[in-house]
Amino acid sequence: MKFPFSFLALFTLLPFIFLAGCSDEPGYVGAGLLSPDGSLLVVDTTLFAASDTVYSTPFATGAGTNILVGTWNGYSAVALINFATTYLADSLGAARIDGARIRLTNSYSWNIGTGQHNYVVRPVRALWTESYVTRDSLNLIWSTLDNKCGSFSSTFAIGDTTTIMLDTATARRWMVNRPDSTQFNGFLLQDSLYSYAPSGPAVANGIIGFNAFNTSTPPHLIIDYTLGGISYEMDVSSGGDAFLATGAINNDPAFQPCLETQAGISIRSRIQFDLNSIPKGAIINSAAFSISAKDRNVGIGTPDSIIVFPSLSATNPDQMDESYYAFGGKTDTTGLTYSVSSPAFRGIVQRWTTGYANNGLVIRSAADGYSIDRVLYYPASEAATALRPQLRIIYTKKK
Amino acid sequence: MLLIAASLPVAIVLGQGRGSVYSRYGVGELNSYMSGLSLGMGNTGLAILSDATINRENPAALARLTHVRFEADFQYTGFGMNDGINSSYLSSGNFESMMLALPVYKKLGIVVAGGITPFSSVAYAVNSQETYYSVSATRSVEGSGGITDAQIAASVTPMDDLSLGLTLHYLFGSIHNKQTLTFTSSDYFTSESDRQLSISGVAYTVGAVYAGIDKALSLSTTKNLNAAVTIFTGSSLSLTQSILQNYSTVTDTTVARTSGTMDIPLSISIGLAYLLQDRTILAVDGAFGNWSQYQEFGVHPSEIRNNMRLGVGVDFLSSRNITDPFWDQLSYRLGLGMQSSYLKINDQAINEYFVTGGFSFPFSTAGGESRLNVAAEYGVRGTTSFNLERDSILRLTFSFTANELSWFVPPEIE
Repeated sequence: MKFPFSFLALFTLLPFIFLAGCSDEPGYVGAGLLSPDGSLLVVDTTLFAASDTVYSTPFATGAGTNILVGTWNGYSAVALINFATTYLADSLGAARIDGARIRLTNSYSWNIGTGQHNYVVRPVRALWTESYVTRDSLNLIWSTLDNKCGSFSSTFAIGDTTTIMLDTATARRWMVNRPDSTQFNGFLLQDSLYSYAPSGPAVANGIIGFNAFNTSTPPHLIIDYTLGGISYEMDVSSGGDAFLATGAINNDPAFQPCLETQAGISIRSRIQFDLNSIPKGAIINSAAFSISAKDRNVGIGTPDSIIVFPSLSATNPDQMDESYYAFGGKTDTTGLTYSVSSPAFRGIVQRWTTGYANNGLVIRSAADGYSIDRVLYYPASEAATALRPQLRIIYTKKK
Repeated sequence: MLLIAASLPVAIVLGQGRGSVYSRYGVGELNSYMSGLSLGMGNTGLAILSDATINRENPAALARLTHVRFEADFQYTGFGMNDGINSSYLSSGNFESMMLALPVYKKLGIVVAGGITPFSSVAYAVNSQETYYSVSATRSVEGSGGITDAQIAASVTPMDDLSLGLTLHYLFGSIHNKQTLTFTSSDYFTSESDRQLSISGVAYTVGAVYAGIDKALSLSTTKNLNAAVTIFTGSSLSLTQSILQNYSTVTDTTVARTSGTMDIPLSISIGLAYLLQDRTILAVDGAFGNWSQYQEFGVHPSEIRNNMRLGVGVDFLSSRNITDPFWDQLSYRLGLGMQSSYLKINDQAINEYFVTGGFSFPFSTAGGESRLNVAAEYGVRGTTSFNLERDSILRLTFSFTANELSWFVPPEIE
């Protein structure tokens, strides 16, 4: 007797498909018999800094958001501004300049005292560009400065505007001498008592900052002129700017030993952690770096944050991969602990555990390009372990 | 063939990775699939000399095949799992095996057979809720894969009642064990580790069947009792372990590769089959595996021990007269057995007890006999105590066996 093939196929496949479709999704049954051997094991470990060092590096502060001017107890800053002349018509050479002024918006202050402080503006002859000018450029720039072309006094309040009257001869130099000449390359703003070479008297007026071109309230150069018997006002609010800050790594015995970050001057610290206790190939689930401040001298008008990045060189701590850096800030507004725990930072630690050279972690102020904030931290040698720089790592390894 | 082709994708898609966590250990669930006939008989039949099925376990039992025979098998497996707290039912469907046997020289019982059949299978997925340093996480552990046995077997009958056989097994496959730790907090990166074992190597089975041992021992005047023995030689298989891990730095996903051996141990099986009044076969089989010698990379896992299997079964033979009514051509099978598995977890031996039943019927007689063997097996193993789980296992197997490829012959029109 023959059995119909089509019936056979139906008979076989339908129950098969039906039964297989009755399955639950995998759940929690049997979790108890998973052997711990070979399981992923989560480990929480805190590593303390093994060694550290403080260094200072020249840093291009151009094209930031603030330009700084002033002096305070061995720290000083001068600002450079060069207004763009790209769109000036040649016919302006025949214009009569009736008046000129620079208008700046106050944006930052650091240790300024009460009362008025005096500042001067001087024409700059030396060529400079905001991408390359650093404090190392100051010697050359200073040597080519002309006498002051304006001055201003300020009681300084953030958000106010400061207007600096310029002499008309200097305004004409700006209109006639285009950039790249050695006749005129913008203005330098300084504390009236400041002198680079020879160094001026110790002054503690404080350092102030103005919004740079990179902001919504940039510097303005306003020139009133007459041409063909008609009066005009020219307002230029684009150009290049930078500030050049100088100062030494803190050596105040009251705070030694210490680590330091200082913006503007680019004082930074490199901290080494020994990660040998982390198994090679461990999966980093989270990583948090924290460092405790022993003294904070931060200004008004900038965020109180740090940036960390892994150094790529044992000899040059500033050598970095720009893809790998992370931001952090104080854990609370009144505390003294700074913490970095972002996914980006986790990636930095992960790279160390997967074979990349561990040349330490560099910390610097997040406001390097627009403030002169200084923070001193407890170092690796601090007797109180809890105050040392530390790295909390939660990682997964095979048991 | 069309049926097989149509079913394969279904089998592959449905229920992959769904099974018992017990398959996580060793090489997974050992497969002792002998034939579509034997499964309904408590997986016995080592000593059955039949021309109706291809015996994968004992090459000597091929000797009575008189026609070219093809077999293909599908298996549905359902696991009702209970760990004393939670219960779940997971199931999967898989293409099981495919075999082709060619009688070469009938007078000497020389038959050559080849095909593929599973040696072991790994299929599980389980989650657990855990807390690490005040952050909760879900651990997901899943495994898949197994070892496939591509085999070529040959039999010979050097003496009237003695058949010998040899099987060359090429064992190959891969086993994946993947773990994932997913934290509830997005501040934590998810850990993933995927361990892949690639396995390959050669092993052998030698087998013998003596037909009519009762008469040879003067216990009977007729030849009704067969005895069989097989020895699986075991093998030191080539083993490569790759570990892939994910890192938050995308380019850093790494592979750690290790090479070594997986030592599959020797096992011995013996069986008896008794033909009762030409219509009933009684069979009993026993097997022992020396799994205490099992090693991966030179290390013996503590959860693995020697295993033993015992089964008894009966087959009520059908009429092969094609003029008989359909119901007379049905064969019925029953069996039961126990298996002391090769697992000892949390110091508890994992044993399995099962009952089986099955039947077969012809679906075409053109050019030879083609049958469908259907077998059901229900078993329980393990316990809900000692942090273990108790599995209630249902296996349904559909085995097509065809003579002389008779399926391709169109049915006659009466």
